[in-house]
Amino acid sequence: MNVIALVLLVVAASGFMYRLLRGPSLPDRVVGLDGLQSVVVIAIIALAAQADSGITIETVLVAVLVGFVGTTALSRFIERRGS
Amino acid sequence: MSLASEILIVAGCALAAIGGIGVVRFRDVYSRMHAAAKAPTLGLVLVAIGAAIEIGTLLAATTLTLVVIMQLLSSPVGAHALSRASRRQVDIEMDAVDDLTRDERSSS
Amino acid sequence: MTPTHRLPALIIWLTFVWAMLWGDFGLANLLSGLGIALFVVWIARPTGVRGIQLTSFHPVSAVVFVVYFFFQLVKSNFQVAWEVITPGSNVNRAIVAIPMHVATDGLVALVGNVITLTPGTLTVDVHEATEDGGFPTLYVHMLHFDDVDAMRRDVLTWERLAVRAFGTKQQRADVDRVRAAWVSRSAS
Repeated sequence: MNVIALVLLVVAASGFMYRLLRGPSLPDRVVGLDGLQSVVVIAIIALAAQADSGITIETVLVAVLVGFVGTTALSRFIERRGS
Repeated sequence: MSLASEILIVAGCALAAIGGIGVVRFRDVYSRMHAAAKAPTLGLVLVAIGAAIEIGTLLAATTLTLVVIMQLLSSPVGAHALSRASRRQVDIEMDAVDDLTRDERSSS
Repeated sequence: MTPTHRLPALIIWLTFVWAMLWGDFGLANLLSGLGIALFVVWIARPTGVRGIQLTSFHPVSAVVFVVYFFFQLVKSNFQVAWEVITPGSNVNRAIVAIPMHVATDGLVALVGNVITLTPGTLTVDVHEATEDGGFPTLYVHMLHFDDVDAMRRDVLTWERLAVRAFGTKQQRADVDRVRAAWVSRSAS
């Protein structure tokens, strides 16, 4: 992959990971998780463009849906049980 | 890789990086949600357009369109679910009006 | 105001998604997609999904909506980038209550979603309409709170675009009437 894109994605992932590990409350950590999901999706698509293959994009659909379900499930948990 | 798709992919990754820096720098939960919901979404759109230009097949274009639609639908809904759920749990300070607390108090 | 759920619209949409997944819009694939869509809808009956809540669809207005939406998305990202770069920017956070003028669940969800992706705003909660036929209220978290009326006008713009693309004539008339009242009030 283009080196610049790779570096930017690492910066993004470490930012979200910092919030995931450090965030003083549970919603902060869920924000980090949601961001990580988006970064993963972007990374897979960028890799698919680099490899010039459209097959791996099918996995992205599953990743988006699973990420969304995860975020919503964690939100329900926060609503019921607190931090 | 063609120049246009390279620029688009780098721009998309830059937006993701802005989102990542944003969640580190912003000072309260809701502001971080602003960054996490908006920046990676547009980043994904740009990267998807770049990848569709690069790969060039119809299958890739339609699959990427589906991915973009799903992300555009799911990212705001996830942010909304999270912000609604964390209202009770997290003490969030506001600088100006807070209509939601006022309306909740008046109705309970 | 009972919303209508259009089942054929949902089936057409599912067939379209199937064709997009395979990248093949040939007749054979569309027919098998139709079969799968019918099967899926039949299986998913216990979930209570009855169809898409679009009461009408105007392609030109829908295109206008999508274009305006992308402009707002780009603008919101410029704002986020600026916030990230400038150190210690002064934010004036607030949650404002914005009464809506359409009551269909689908349109409220659409406008609420779009508000999240516009500059400086995030939809926090939606309070359902009161029993005497009022309208839902959106609660929007703003990063820079300066003018409630500007925010209400923005939401009305979104409602107008959404209703022109996806709403009924009655809803269009309602929104236009509210807008005319505001314009005349601000002009006087």
